[in-house]
Amino acid sequence: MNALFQFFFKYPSFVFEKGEFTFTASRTMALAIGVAALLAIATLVTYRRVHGGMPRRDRLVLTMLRVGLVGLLAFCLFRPSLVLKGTVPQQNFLGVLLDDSRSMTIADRDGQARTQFIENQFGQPDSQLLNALSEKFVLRFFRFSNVVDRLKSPGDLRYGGSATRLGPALERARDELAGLPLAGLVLVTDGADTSDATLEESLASLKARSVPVFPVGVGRDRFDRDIQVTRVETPRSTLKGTTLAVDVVISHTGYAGTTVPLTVEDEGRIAATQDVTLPSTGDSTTVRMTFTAGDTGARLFRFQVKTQADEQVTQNNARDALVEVSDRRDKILYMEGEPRFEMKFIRRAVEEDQNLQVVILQRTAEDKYLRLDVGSKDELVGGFPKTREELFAYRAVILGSVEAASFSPDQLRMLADYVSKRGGGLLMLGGRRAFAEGGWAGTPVAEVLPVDMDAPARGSGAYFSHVSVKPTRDGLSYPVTQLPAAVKGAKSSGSRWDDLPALSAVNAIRSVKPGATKLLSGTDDNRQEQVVLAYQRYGRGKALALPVQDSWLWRMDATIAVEDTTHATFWRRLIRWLVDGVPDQVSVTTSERVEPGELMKLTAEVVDPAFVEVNDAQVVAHVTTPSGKVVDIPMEWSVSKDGEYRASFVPDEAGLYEVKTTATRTQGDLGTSVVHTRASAGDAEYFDAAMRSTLLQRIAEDTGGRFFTADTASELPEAITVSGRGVTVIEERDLWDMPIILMLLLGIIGAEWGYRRLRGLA
Amino acid sequence: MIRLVVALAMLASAAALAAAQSLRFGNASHPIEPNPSYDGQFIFARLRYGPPLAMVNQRIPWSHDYPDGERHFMQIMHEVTYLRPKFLESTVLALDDPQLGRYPLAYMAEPGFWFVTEAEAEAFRAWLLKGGFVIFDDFAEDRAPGWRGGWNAFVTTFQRIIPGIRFYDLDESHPIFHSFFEIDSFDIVPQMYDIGRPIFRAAFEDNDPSKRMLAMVNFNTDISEFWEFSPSGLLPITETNEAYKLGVNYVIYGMTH
Repeated sequence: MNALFQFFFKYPSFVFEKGEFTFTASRTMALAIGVAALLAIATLVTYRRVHGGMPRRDRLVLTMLRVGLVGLLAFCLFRPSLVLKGTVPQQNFLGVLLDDSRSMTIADRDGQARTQFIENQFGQPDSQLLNALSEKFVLRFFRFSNVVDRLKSPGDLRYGGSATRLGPALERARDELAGLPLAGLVLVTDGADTSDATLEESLASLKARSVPVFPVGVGRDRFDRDIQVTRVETPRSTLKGTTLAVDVVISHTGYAGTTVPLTVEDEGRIAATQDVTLPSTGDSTTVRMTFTAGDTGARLFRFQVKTQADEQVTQNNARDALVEVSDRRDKILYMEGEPRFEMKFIRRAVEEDQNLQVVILQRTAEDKYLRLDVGSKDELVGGFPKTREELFAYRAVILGSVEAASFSPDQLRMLADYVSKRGGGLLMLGGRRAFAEGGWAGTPVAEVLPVDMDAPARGSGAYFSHVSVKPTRDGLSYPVTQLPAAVKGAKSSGSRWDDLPALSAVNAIRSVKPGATKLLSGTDDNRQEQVVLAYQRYGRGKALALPVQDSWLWRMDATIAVEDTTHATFWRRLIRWLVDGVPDQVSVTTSERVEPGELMKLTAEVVDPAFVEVNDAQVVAHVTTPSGKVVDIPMEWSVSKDGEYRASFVPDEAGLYEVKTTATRTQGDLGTSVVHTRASAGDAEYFDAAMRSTLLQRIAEDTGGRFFTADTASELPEAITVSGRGVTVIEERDLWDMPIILMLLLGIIGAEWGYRRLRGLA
Repeated sequence: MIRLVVALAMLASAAALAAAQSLRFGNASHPIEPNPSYDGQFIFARLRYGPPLAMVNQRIPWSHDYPDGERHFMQIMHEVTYLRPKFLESTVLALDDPQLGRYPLAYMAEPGFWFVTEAEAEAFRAWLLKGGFVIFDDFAEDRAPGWRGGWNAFVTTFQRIIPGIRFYDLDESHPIFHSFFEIDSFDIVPQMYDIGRPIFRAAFEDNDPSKRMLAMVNFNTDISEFWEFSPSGLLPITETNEAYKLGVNYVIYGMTH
């Protein structure tokens, strides 16, 4: 389209955009043209009087054509021109930034690698674009990927960069060329920026300094045939034996309807596999992979789609995720307000789980408790915890059929804080003393729970109903509500729910709060919906509600086989989910992976046993390198946030790093956290690696430059010349000799001749 | 004349004794009340062996002390614990009744006389292994070689249900004797029979006493007899108290372990 425009109008369109239209004829010439025009008008008037028997319509058409012809000639005689600010040759500098990252090796330009464009246009002494730019500007080359460097010659590019960071690249070139007459920056790249940072700041700075950027997008903006594992979301840590449900987002082009296997490998061992049928081209699909974290330690899980024979990019078919699988024993407090079978069967369900210690405080009579599975003889000896330190030591709390009035106002507030501030998991079970029937409505705990509580039914009309339980749409994909086969080889999950016996409820819970998620739902005897399992995030923690009173029927009902593990599996998963992600007193976060030599940032959050932030702790990260060397890195309080400490280090060798962070203060140890991270060259360059024309176009528009593709790059020198930046001179460019003018003249003459022939006037 | 008086006196004594025996052991027939429907509230579940009956009496071993024994006991449970059971109703279930799955704690009287069909054995075995807990009560040593109703008959039947099952004598230190009341000595446990002392035995999963208790056996005693007659004043209050304490502890233990 641009070439066609230039063919008709002599100059590319951007010249017209930049230039100012004017007539440059001299005053004498203008006078002469005026006189000629008057004579022409007089001639036309004469034409008008001489009829010659010509019909009025013919005279009108011929007059119009003749006036048009004369007008066009007059337009040319006035010498129409464009006035531009053009750069003075060799007086201006031009920064040329060449993408040196791995994605440039992708061969998506008619089978040619993207690098070929750079080699052809900049790498040879006789390269056309290089010469055209060199004639007008003093060139300064830069290469960029995860780092930015000056480049002596484009031939020095190696295309080994493991990341693309456009923002730092533009800023570095801007800074290096500051103070020089700068015509602009040319950015030759595929635009596949892999950094998380936005470009806003960099672009605003360039705009403020009037530095236009001229991106040249290399590559196709959509691959013909490619499958990509776009995103994988795994927890950073989990308990050994936990069933993980990981969402894997797969996108593709060119494989609609194809079924491909998706596998999860745990350090080389296949943990799960699932067939995925790909949606329409350009669409993505989310697959929930369920597998068990069976081995302890820092485990590298690989999510991989089998490579197809004709894929253009094969490196984006797999993603890795590092997960800390710990073998610790998490303590859960289960308070039950009356003897009932629910507690017995929950206890049985988790008794063989080595990673869960459910400590039971069973009230058997007024002020009489039975303590089971306690860690020491003094544990819970005073009943339900009365201090934050005591309560917050547990990673989850289960409230059975126990009324709110059995807790003091402080304890109720503490339970709410347990979720919101400590980040613990809270589960309330159904029962005669639970929810509204237990007087929980209006308490701080009711705020935390994910369900709405109606007023309790009273007297003989107390609510009781059987409830047939079904998973909701969300529930079908959550691990906690994905049921295993009852016995080996039998059906599982969704259809398995149809076979389970109905439960019963004494708390009418009809709806969940906005923002809460309903995982299990049921229909009661009145055909009304009963919430069976719901959850919501609340503050730092999460709260669950299971308002049924006898989930143990999933074990004891006559229809359930002895070897059926549904009840035990459900409860183990539920309680593991409850404790999943519950923070410790010392919690350290860091990137899962960095490039060797890149800065690794550590952030620690430190709290005391009551989970109050501590700012005066001695926090040290003991970093063990892959070769076994231990480096102690003191962490400093960030000042900007209570309890937050920061440090960083540069991993100079590739491999797995252990970061063991200890926090102490004068009163004693606050805790230890162990996380792992790895330094390795990533494949990020091959993900979303199609040329990003939208991003590059925005860079051009925001800075006053212009976006080009490899096919239109020949216009680049002209575009920079007329951009008006740097040392410039006013240029006038004639327009009277545009091919379109000649075509119009010939067209009018031809039309007049043709009309006369047609009408028999010639 | 004196002989007549003596004879009348002897007859009166015999009649009075018979009347007392009748009162005490309940020779009168009692209708089996319909089982209430399940609503999640705890209810005393009595196990029946043999065919279903409309009426029961002392000649039906599994029904001994029905219904007063369990209802008095549940009233005590209601008073002293937070169990809040039904105490005006109880339920009677066969070993292979599908409804038994809704009652994970059950009671059987006179287990020395029980017998099971194949279907009952299979259903009751599944109930036990899935989590059921059963209390056996009211039977004694074998009275004579070949006599049904004692320990050997009980074990023979139980082993048809769980082959190889073994029973372990418990001492006072076992947690079941401390789950609610502290029962530190068996010396205070009452004896209903006239031979020896009560013996407390239990069967466990996989014959491993460290695992879950499947069955609690009150051998050589009959604690429900004390429950039944507790309002009558025929039995000493102190002994009745101990019988109730055992029952409360069994239920609390069975509901928590």
